[in-house]
Amino acid sequence: MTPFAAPAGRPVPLAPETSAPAVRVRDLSISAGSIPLVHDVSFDVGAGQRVGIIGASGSGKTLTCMAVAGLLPPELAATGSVRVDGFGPDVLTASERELATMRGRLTGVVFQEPMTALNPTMRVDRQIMEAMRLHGGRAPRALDRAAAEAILREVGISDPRRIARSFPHELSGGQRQRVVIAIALANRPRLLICDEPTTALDVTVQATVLQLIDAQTSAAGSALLFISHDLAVVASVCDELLVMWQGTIVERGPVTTVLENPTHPHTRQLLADADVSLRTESARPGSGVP
Amino acid sequence: MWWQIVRRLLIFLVSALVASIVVFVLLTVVGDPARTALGTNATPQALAEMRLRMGLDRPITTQYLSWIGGMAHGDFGTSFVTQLPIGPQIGERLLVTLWLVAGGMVVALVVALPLGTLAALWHRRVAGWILSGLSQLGIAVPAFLAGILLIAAFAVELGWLPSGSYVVPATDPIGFLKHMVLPWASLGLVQGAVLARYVRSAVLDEMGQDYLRTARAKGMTLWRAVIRHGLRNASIPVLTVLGVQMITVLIGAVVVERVFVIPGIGSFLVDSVARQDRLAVQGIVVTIVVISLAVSFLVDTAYALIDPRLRRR
Amino acid sequence: MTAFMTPPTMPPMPEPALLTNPSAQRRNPLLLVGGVIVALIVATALVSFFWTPFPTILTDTDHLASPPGAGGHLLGTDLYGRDIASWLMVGAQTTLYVGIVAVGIAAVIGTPLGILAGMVRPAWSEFLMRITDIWLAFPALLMALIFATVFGASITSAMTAIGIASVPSFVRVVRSGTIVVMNADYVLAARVAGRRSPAIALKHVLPNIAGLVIVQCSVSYAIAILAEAALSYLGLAGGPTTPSWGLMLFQGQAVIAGDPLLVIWPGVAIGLAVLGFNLFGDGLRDRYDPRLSGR
Ligand SMILES: Nc1ncnc2c1ncn2[C@@H]1O[C@H](COP(=O)(O)OP(=O)(O)OP(=O)(O)O)[C@@H](O)[C@H]1O
Ligand SMILES: [Mg+2]
Repeated sequence: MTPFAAPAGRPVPLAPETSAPAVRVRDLSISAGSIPLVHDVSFDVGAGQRVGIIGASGSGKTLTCMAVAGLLPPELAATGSVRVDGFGPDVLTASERELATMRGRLTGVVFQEPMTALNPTMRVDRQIMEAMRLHGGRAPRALDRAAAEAILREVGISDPRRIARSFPHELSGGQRQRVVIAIALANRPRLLICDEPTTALDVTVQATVLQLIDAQTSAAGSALLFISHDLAVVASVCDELLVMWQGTIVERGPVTTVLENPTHPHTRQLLADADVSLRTESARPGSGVP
Repeated sequence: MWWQIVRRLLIFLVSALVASIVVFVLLTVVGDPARTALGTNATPQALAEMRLRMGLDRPITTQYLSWIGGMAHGDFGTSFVTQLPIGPQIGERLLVTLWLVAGGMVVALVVALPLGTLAALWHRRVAGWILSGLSQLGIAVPAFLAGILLIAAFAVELGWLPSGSYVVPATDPIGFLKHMVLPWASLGLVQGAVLARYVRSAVLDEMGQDYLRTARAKGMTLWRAVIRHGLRNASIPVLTVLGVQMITVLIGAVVVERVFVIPGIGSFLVDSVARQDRLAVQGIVVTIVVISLAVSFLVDTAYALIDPRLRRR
Repeated sequence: MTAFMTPPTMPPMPEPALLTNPSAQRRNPLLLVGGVIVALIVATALVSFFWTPFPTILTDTDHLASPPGAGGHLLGTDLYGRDIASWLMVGAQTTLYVGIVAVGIAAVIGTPLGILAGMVRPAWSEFLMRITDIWLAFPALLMALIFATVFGASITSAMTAIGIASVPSFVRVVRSGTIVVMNADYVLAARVAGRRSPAIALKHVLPNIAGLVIVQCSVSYAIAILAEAALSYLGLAGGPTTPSWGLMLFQGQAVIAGDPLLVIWPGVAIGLAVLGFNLFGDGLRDRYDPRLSGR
């Protein structure tokens, strides 16, 4: 298993300060007691690069990303190393206190389920302001509030003042996911981790949220680690692709290469499944897919 | 939200009314209050006179209305056993009991909140076992038994604290505290041990929620996330338990007041029961029941204040 | 390529946690400990019908308030020279008797009411729940004090009152169980097939909620023991010569400075009995409804 060498990705608008990869994962293994869940996973995400992970359900995609984000549940044991650019210690061995300085500042996470990702008893603006304050120090409240509203506007919320004063249950699924993205990007992290960010959303909303992630990571110059079941989605967002199966990476390479020339049977299977679903989708009247 | 509160208030008022009818029926209509007051070997003539004095010759609805109408402005009637007005006694003694209950609840909270939260955050299994054990013990040892044991230890063996009686806080605040420490502890420690288990499980529930992971992803440590985000949400299920416990403590105080010879509404109730003073029992029981119903009403209202999802409609 | 497909280090993926039944895998220590304590108390009460170390009415004037062992009294004697061990044994009788009658009353009234509340239309169900809310404002001790005023202080009035006060918790538990059963597929099918409600209640609901009722019995039993102890401590249950743990506490408290053991023994007995029935109830709950346990 040779470490993933990043070929030239798409041009990055805002060049990050360092040329080191945003994340360097080596020999990551995760187990629950004696049961291995993720095995010997190594990859890099270069600065500003966009890497997609696909794989069947239960193949370890989420666990891998949570390990990178320093959010593994305590009952799981991880070995290997995870280095995040700008963060001194190894993510796997760092203390919770150290990790807290990394999370939200160097890494941001967008979770799969927007309905539950926000605190139900706290107004949206406070949840965003909190993300900024944790790393940016204290600014006068009014300034923070204005900044929170500005971020909401950036993530495409047309009525930021009203939304800022709302509770999560008063928002639609798409709006909530936009808020989660706003929180994840509040400090312009070097790496944005998206764990199936559109799976729980309505089809009509999916495309706009994807565009948003695309545009916002470009604008912030963040690298992107993007999980999805949906090959079409990954192809449209990412440069590089990792295919996971039963806890290991079975195939990797530039998106076009992997999709056009799959070598591993599991990848072929995924492609075949996707093909079927693409075809049924295109069979629907009014669908724009040829 | 306001409509919710008004609705709850209406439910509370109707419930209180129904409860008062039940108490009235049990203590005035069932059996013969005149005979209860005079004893079994009263002459028929004395009984008839007593019935007249008690107003038992009037229609039942009139009796009820005059009783409840009197209570509306604090007149609980005059005892036919002690010949003393009941209302002022209830008022005076209720204050004492409220001190007792409030202190007990404070002790319970001071014990349960940190203990339960720490147990959720610390090594889960061991802390869970210890807390389960403590709360089982808490349930198994009723407050009055805890009181007796505390007296045996701290008043008799060690001699640190008085074993009973009551001091008015206004005249002697230090003495008041000294006398209340053991009663508060006996009501609060037991309930605190029980409450801690609920706090732990509520906090554990919140720790499994996605929003807490979001808070950590923002850059909070687990502890900070639990304290800033988790506790407020955990307080919603804990509040229910707290309401129930407050009623438990109020009832527990009835016996605890006996143990520590505190002149609260509980010892008034027990004395009145022993004297077969129906009218006094009737007034005291209605007071206690209405307080219980009011606590439930307040708990329900507090939900709406904590949880914005309940504020709609 | 095929060798790569099945890496040797990968065991099969673990099953999702929800599908594995926790109680099927581990032994149930709560049930065991609770069961042992309950069995011990029942055995003590049964034995006391035929044999006690000394008659409970005997006042051994040579050994007043004597320490354990003196004069053949295993646990010593109380202020009047009565044998503590014998009193504790017969006290178990009183406790169990009051508990059985009280829980019996509560279960017999509460279970049908709860099934009814779970099967009638939501508006009626809501109405019944409001009634139980009011009912709950009369806990066992308060109800017993009312009954003691109206009907006189006696064991009968105490256990009747405790039983009546325990009804609403049965109604609540049974109602929520019934609602779950009524929404199960097979019951929906039976209803679609035109089965009448009484038949459904007997054939489907009752067998399925039996576990809940038994658990509630155990929990209520513990509450009944507590209420009985409090009442006899207040002197409002049996008379001063009816052996009961609460009464022993009261009499012991008077001489607590001289002999704290006199309150310790009955205190331990009460605590142990309540603990036993609570653990037993928790254990049963684990057994009947693994989803509710696990904390
Ligand atoms: N806390 C945990 N304890 C034990 N096993 C776990 C835990 N979390 C995840 N697993 C197991 O690890 C495996 C990988 O889980 P993971 O969530 O990474 O899958 P995934 O690839 O993200 O799947 P999906 O596409 O369905 O989200 C699964 O088999 C899962 O059951
Ligand atoms: Mg996943």
